[in-house]
Order: sequence, then structure tokens, then C-alpha cells
Amino acid sequence: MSVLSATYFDGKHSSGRTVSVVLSGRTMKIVGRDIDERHDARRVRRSLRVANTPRWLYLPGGGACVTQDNDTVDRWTREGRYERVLNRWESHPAYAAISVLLVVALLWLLIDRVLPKAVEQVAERIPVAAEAALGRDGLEGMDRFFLRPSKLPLDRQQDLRARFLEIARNDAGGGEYRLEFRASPVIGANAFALPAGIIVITDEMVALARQDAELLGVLAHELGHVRHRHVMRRLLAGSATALIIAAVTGDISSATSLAASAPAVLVQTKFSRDQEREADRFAIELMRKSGIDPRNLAAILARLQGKSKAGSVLPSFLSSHPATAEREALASGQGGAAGRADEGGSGKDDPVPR
Amino acid sequence: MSAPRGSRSNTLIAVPLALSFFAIGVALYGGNRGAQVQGPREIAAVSDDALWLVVDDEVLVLDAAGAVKSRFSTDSFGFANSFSTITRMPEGRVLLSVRGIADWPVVEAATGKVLKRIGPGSEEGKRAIDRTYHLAVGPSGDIAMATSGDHSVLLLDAEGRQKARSPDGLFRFANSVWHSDEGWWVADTNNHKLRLLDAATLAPKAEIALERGLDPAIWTGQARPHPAGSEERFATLARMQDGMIVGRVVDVDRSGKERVHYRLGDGAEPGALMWWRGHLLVVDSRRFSLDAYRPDGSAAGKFGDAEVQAALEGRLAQKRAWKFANQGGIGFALVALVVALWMYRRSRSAAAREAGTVRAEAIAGSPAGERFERLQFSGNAREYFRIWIVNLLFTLLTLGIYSAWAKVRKKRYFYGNTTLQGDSFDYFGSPRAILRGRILALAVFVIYAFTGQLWPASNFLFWALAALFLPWLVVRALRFNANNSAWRGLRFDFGATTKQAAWFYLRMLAGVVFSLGAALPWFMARQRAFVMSNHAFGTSRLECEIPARAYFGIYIRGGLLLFALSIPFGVMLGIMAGKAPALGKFAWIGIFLPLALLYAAYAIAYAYIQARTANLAWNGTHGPGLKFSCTLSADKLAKLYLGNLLAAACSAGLLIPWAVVRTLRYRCENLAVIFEGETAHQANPALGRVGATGEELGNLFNVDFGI
Repeated sequence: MSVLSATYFDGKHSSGRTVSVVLSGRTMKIVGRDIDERHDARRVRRSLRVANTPRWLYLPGGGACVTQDNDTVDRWTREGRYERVLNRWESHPAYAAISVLLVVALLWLLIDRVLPKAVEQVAERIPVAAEAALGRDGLEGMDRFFLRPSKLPLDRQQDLRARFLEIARNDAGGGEYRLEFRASPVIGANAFALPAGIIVITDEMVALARQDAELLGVLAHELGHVRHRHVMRRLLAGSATALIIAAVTGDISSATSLAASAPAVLVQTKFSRDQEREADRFAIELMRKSGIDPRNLAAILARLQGKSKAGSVLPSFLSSHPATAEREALASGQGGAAGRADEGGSGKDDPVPR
Repeated sequence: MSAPRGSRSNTLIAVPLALSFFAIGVALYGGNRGAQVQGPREIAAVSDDALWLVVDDEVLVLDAAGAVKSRFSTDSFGFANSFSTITRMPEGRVLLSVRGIADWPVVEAATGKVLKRIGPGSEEGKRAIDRTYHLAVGPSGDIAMATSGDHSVLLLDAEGRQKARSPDGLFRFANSVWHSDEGWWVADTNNHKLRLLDAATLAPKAEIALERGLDPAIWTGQARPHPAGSEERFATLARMQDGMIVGRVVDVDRSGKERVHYRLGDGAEPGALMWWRGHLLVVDSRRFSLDAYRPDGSAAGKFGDAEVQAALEGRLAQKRAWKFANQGGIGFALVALVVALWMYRRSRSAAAREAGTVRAEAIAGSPAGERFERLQFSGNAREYFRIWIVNLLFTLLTLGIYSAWAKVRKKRYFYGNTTLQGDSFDYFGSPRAILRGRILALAVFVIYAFTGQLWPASNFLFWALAALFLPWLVVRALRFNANNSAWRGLRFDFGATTKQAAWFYLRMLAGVVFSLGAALPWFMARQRAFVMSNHAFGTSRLECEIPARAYFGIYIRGGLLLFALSIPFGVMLGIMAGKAPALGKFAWIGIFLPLALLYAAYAIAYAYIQARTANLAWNGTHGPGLKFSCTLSADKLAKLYLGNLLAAACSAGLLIPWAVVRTLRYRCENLAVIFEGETAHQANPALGRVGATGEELGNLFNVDFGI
């Protein structure tokens, strides 16, 4: 026989009565002033233990008893497996520490390993045609705000197109792309890939190059972005990361959840750096297959770096591109044994005396 | 809560606020103007007995001794500000140029009249215009253009057509250039050399490797031929450390060794150099001075008469004044802002004290039988951390499926630790129902996202459907939550029907649309009241009246608060982002600090709105034998939120449970129920079970019902 003291609510009125709950064999007796009830103990549902919150015994017929005496209730009932696991993990401090480590490890695994692969798989299965609307809207948007029609002579454009087509043929992946020429005083020398295989290159970039081989290197890099569906992957990863972070920080008020967007930015920039490296590798491979010296890519990257006035204000973990020195090393290293030591060296190039 | 008294104190606060904004305007303007003052830029001999010194937008014509003969503005050549180079040409003419403009006037030195305009004719030359470049003119009229970052020297004829070009890969940053009998001498800055190029073909003929001494990072700025032109004294150079700071001026011999060091003094920044009548004239671009030195390196005092000094000092004073306006403006703005905030806090706490006394009197004077019972919260961070971390772990392990059980556990912990009159609340939502709801919500979301990518028009369809379903969603979500919550064994209920909700939202939509959004606070007030009013405890229905006017006041003040706090932070962000390169490695602090302050500003404004609206809503709610009192302080709530932000950021999220618990405890302890008499409440027999779909869908699409 085992007794615990509880408060009884009949579920019809808001007033409660102090009672004693007695368990003997299979019968549960509720005894108190004006109350004497018997119930089959197997039909009484109890709530799961949550730390030291009051425990509820829901009686058949609609009433309920609430008690602070969690231990007695535990003794009365057989713990299910779920309860046992929860109890162990939630009561011992050691388990809390292990949980923290496991959570960190799992999150890292999820975001750094699983997510990129999953996103890659999903992106591969989406046909390029599906991106058509995105690409078109993207280009229209850029045309409205940042880009202007190219001033490059048409025959020069045709020439570049033809040359690029030649080397693009060496790409085993095949598939489509569309080369667009634009001028952009706002953006300056740049080239970028939009969804649906659209590659845009600015007149300023064409002017910056000393030889066509350098331009082909840049275009090969952008083709790498297209081939690996980087834009789509970034979109998917972005939503997935946001979902994960929202799930993790679900409780807190929205003001604090702003702070949670900071790690999302870090994840995004790392993702973007990995993509840039992948595109670089693709470009170098393609250039080699087409018989173009990959160091051309390094040369134009170095010149681009020299052109940028602010230099590297952002530490590398915040930047969306790997450090130029790293990219140049990659490109130069693949170029072959003999090479001038100075070529494509460190980014420290142009001081501006006055 | 009624409108606070002391509206005079509110207007007084506007004064330092306005001053703060004004000061920021002044700071921005001052910074801009200060940057435009560059002082003396270039000095050159235009004939055998006249010098031109260009100081910002003015040219001072000096005689051989440095006395001012005349002055004119750079405007007369078509330049808005000062020019970059003055190059002497044969036949008493001068070639002027400005970086960025491909149009070089050829001017008659004696009269200052523009004779003609030439410019670089080739593509290469036109490209090089955007960088600094240096010009030199030979006796035949040929012009050598050293293109600095384009790494080349171009030879142009007297009309600007390109005749020759230095070989590729020779120069790394082609700097100063001058003509001599041997050919063109050019400073090759990054290769630390002086190179001699053939006068007609620009083929390299010779080179001098400049001594670098102990400092490998030394660069060469301006270079000029030494008048002696001998083996021992070949050229005079300005040499700078890494980062283009400081400066020394030295003479080098023909083997590149430094022979004479000119004693410029500390903090000198030599810009232009020139040999004149046996003295070296150095233009200092930081101190705005023109100094003369003897060939042995010793200083010979300032060059130029009193008028020159006055002009230079005047510019320096101007620059300093603008800099003071800039920095002083920022400092003043911050001080004024702090004063405004302090004044605001004082008026708030005075008002709160008043309101507190009023309420205390009201309670003390309340009729017998009225009991004032605060909610109590008995949870603590350590307990909750364990629950939270295990929830997170299991959720991750099950790829999110456990999240439904986690939610129930979390709610049970909080409900169970909240007590009123000694009795706790209970939550018994079924995890399976929640899971079903979440899976459905996820499916809807994924379909929405994918069809959105493929057919953007489908987004409109979804939002239209969402609008149609909104009333149903709202009702279901609120009812599920209410029905699964209980106190003293009696379940809560949300009694509005879908039709009532639909009608309500339709009226709201009409109101907001017709007022072009200005009626938003009215909508928020009405919605809150609608939600509260349809809740019931058992059969005891709650009623809620919120004066919409008060909501307007709260939102307007909240918006102003956000504005007042975020403008200076935003400006600081802009200024620091501009100065970032100067901070070097710590530049990112300059960007993050204002960003963090912006977050803080948002948290403060949000806390204000939340506290005030919650107080209004609860104080306006009553039921049979029930009244409510909510006494949240915007101050304390803001401090809580800021602390939470900081804790979450510093602990990579591990302190989130602590933040949640302490915020909840504060909110609980500031909510009280006033029981009038001994009204007993009864259960509502009509309560059935409601599925969880509404609540989960609502969550996923971020429809916050704002309780």
C-alpha cells in the first residue's frame, strides 16, 4: 500500500480538494472530504515526468489528480523505454555535457557535410530548364539597375563567343550556356553566372585582360558555376540553413533571433568560398584540356586584386571568395614546372603614391 | 495605461534629439568638405624665372625668389580642383593634366592662356588616365607618359598620338619620368629601380638598382634628376615605408646608393619635389608647407613669401576646421543622444512610479473579497537547459521528427512551472497531432517553394489561398492551443467560429487597404482584442477592449525610438566602413560594432512596443469575476532582451535556455489575476478534440497571433 497526497479536480468545476491517493494492487483509491472513489489503476493515465513539475493522474470519467510527489508516482508505474532514456539524459549533468558535444558535432556534420551533398543531389535532379524563369528575371533585374548594353564591337563579341565555344566543347558534361556581354561602370571588371546557364561578362573585364586566354579562363570559371548548378545549390542551402537555425533557436523572441542570422551568414560565405574553389578547379581542368595555360587565370586574378581599392578589409572567413593568393597559387601550381617566379605572385602589387 | 503626464518633458526630449541629428548632418558635411581640401599638390618651373604652385583650386605664380606675382584659379583651364601634373614644355609652354580626365591643356606659361588641348590618342593611354600617371616632355615635343599601375611607359607625339611603348613585363609600377640626354629615365617603383629607356623606341638601355637598406618594404615616390647630374649625385627621390606613410627624401648616386638624406623633420609627408636654383623644394602634403633644402641635406627654411605662407596656412586651417566639424559633430551627436535617452528614462520612471502608486491605491481601496494574485514561475535555467539540450539532440538525431515531442515537453515544463493561486497550468497536446500538422505544413512549404521557382506566378496563387484559409488557420491554431491547456482541471477554449474570424479579417483588410497601411496599429489592436475576447476559461468567456488610439501612440513612439537610435548607428556604420582600411586587421570591428548597435536599437524599440501593448491588452481584459493586471516595464524588458542577445551571441547559443527562462519569469511575475468574489468556473462540456494542423501551419508561415 502506498499513499501520496494530491489535489483533486473533478474536471467540471474550478475548485479543488485535497485528497490522498492510495494504490493497492490494481485499485487506485481517491480519498478525501466528500470524495471516495475507486478506479482501475490500469485505466488511469499519468503524465510523463518533466523535471519537477507537478504530475497529473488523469482519471477515467474526467477528473484528475495533481501531485508534487513525482517519486512516488514513478515507483507506482513502470517506466517505458522512452521515459527511461529521457530520465537518464535529463537528470545527470554528465549527460548534459555529452549532449552539448553531440549537438555541436551533429550540427557541424549536418551543415558542413550532409547539407552540401544533399543540396548537390537535389540540384542535379532539377532540370536546367526549371531555372529559366529565375535566370531571366535575374538578368532583367541586373539590366535595370547595374548593367548597360555592351560597347564591345560585334565582331569582337563573335570572336570571343566562337573561341569560348571551342573550349566549352571539351567539357564532358555538355549542356547549355548563354554568353551575354554587358557594360557596367557600377560593377566594373567582373563576370558572373546566373541561373539557367547565363554567363555575363562586362566590357571592363574584357578591357582588363591582356590576352584572350585570360578571358577564356574567366569564362571557364563561370562555366564551372553553371555546370555545377551553384546558384541553385546556394538557394537550396540558404533555405535549408535558415530552417535549421530557426529550428534550433525556435524558442527565443524574434529580436534575439536576429542574432541567430549571424551564423547563417558565416555558413553562406563558407559555402560560397567552396563553390568558388570548385569553379576554379573546373576552369583549370578545362583550360588544360583545351591547351591553354592556366596561369592566365592567375594573372588576371592578380590584376583584378590590384585594381580593387579597398584591398582585403574583410577577414577571410567573412569573404565570399577565397583569398586571391590562394587562387593564384592553385592556378599557378597547375601550370607546369617551368615558370617565372614573379608571375602571378602575391597580390601586393600596386601602391598608389599620390 | 493612460497617456503619460508631463508631455512637456516629452517635448524637451525632442531638443537634444534634434540637436543630435543636426550634429550628424554637420559631421557628414564637414567630413566631405574636409576631404576635398588637399592643400599644395604640385610645384613646377614653367620658365627660367617663374614657378607655379597649385594649392587646391588656385595657382600661385611665383618669381624666382618665391614672391607671388599673380594668382588665378584652376577653373580657367577647365579644372574644378587642382591638377595632378605640371610639365614644362619647350617654347615657353606648360602641359597640365588631371587624373581621370583625358584632356590635357597646353598653356602659355607667361599669360596662362590655353593654346590647345591634346590628350592620349591610344586605347592604352586612355585606359591609363584613371590612375595616377606622370608626364615628361622632351625637347622635340614628344611626351612620355608613365602609367603607374598599367606597368608601362608610352611615348606620344606632340598631338598625343602613340608612337612607342615600353616592352611588356619590364615595369612594375612606372612612376616619375624625366628626359635627359641619354634618353628617358623612369622610376620603376616596385622593382626598386631607375630605368633608362631609349628616347625614340623606349627600349631599355640601362638600369640602376636602388639601395633598399634594412627595410625591404621601402617604396619610391617622386623622383627628380639632381641638378649636378654627376656620378655621386644622380637623382633625388622621395622614399616611403609600407602603407605609403612617412617619407624621406634622399639623393642617390649612379649605383643606387643613398648619399644625402634631407632632414625633413618628424611627420613629414613629401609629395612633390623640385630643384630650383640650387635648392630642393619639397611640398609637404600633410603639413601643407613648402620647404627648401640645401644640397647637403640641411633645411633652409620655408620657400615663398608671406602671401604664399598665408595661402598655405589658410588651407591648413580650413582642413583642420572641417575635421573638427566632422569629429566634433559625431561626438556631440553621441552626447546629445545619451542626454536624450537619459531624459526619456527619467520621465518614464517618473510616470511609472505615478502609475504604480495609482494602482496600489486602487488595490488598497478595492472592495473586500477582491484578491490580487500574481502568476509565479518556479522553473530555473539549469533544469530547462537539460530539457532543451536533450530536445535539440533528439531532434537532430531524428532529423526533426522528435521536434513535436520536444515542443510538448517544453510547453509542459513552462506550463507546469507557472502557478496561479498555488495551482499550476497543464498542457496535454498530443505530439502525434503536432507531428502530423508539421509534416503537412512542411509539405505545403516545399510545394510552395518549388512551384515558386518553376512558375513564379504560382506564388500569387499560394498567397491568395493563404488569405482565404487564414481565418480557418487562425481559429484552429488558437483552439488547439486553448483546448489542450488547462488550469485546475478546466480546459480553456477559443470560441470564435471560422465565419466570425473571416468576417473580422475581411473588415480589417478593408480598413488597412483603404487607409494605405496607416491603420496598421488599429488593426493590431483589434486583432489582439479579437483573440483575447474569444478565449474562455471553461465557460467563463473573456472580453477585451483595447483603445486603438493608445496603440497608435505606442507604435508611433516605438517607431521614433527606433529611428532615433538607429540613425546615429547607421551613420557611424557608414563612416567606419569608409575608414575601415585604415584600421588594418581590425577593420571588421569597425563594421560589426555599428551593426551590433543597430540590432540593439531594434531590440529596444521592440521591447517598448511589446511591453506597452501587452499591458494595454491585459489591463483591458476581464471575465466573470476576473480582472487582469499587467505591469511590464519597457525598460526592464529592453534590458532583458539586450542581455539575451549578448548571451546568445557570446555563448554560441548555449545560454538560450537561460535567456528564455529569465524572460518568461519576468513576464509571469508581472501578470496578475484579480479575483472578484468567489466565482466558481465551470467546464465547457462541448469541448471536443481539435487536430493540430492549424497551429503548425500557422507557425510555419510565420503568422503570429500575438498573444
